[in-house]
Amino acid sequence: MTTIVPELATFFEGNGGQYVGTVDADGTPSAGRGWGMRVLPGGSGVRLLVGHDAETIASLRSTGRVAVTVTDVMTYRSVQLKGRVVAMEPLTAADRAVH
Amino acid sequence: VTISLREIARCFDGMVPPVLVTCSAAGEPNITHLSQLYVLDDEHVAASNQFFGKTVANLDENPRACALVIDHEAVGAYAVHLEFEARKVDGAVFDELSGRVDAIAAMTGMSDVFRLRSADIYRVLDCERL
Repeated sequence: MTTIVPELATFFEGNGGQYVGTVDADGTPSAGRGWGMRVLPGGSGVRLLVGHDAETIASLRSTGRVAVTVTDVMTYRSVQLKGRVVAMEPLTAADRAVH
Repeated sequence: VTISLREIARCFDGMVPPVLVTCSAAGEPNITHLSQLYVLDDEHVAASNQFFGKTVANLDENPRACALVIDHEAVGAYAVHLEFEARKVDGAVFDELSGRVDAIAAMTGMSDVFRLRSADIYRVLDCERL
C-alpha cells in the first residue's frame, strides 16, 4: 500500500483542481469533479467530496474503483492517485462550506 | 445526445484543458489532461494525443471514455461520454490539432516538449451537465 508523503499531502490539500475518474461494472468510465481533499492521518488514504453526479456516485458504490487527479491550475503539475473507496459518508456542515 | 456540443462550444475553446477518463480491461480507471478536445461535428470529437501511454493502452482494451469539460464563463461542467473510433497521424484533422498544440506550446514555452502524436477520433454517445 502506498503512503502519501507530507510534500504530496500539502499539494493534495492545496488549491488545485480535483478530478475524479470512476468505472461501472460494465467497464464504462465516468469523469467528475472533486473538492476539499484531505489526507488521512499517516497518509494511508484521502477523504474527498464528490459532485452530485449520479453516474460517479453509482460507480463508486458498485465497483469502488477510483482515480483522482489533482492539478495545479497555474503550472499544470498533476498527481494522480488510484485506489478503492472504503466508505461513503453524508456531507457534514463543514463539507457544505467547502463545496 | 442529451446536450448538443454546439450548445457548449465554450467548453472546447482551450481555456480550461479537459480531462479524459479511460479504463483498463481489469477495471482500473485512469485520468489524463488533454491539450485540445476539438468538435468535428455533432457526433464526433478529436482529442490531441501527446503523451498518452496509459490512455492508448486502455483504449486498445476498452474503447469507452469520458471527457470532463468546463465552461469557464458559466463555471459549469459537462461529462461527454465517448467511444474511441480511430487514430489519425496525418490528414486535415491531425494538421488542425497539431497547429493548435503548437500554438499552445509556443505560448507556454513548451515547444521542445509538446508534439502531437495523433488525433484520436471519438464518437459522442452522450453529453450531460454535472
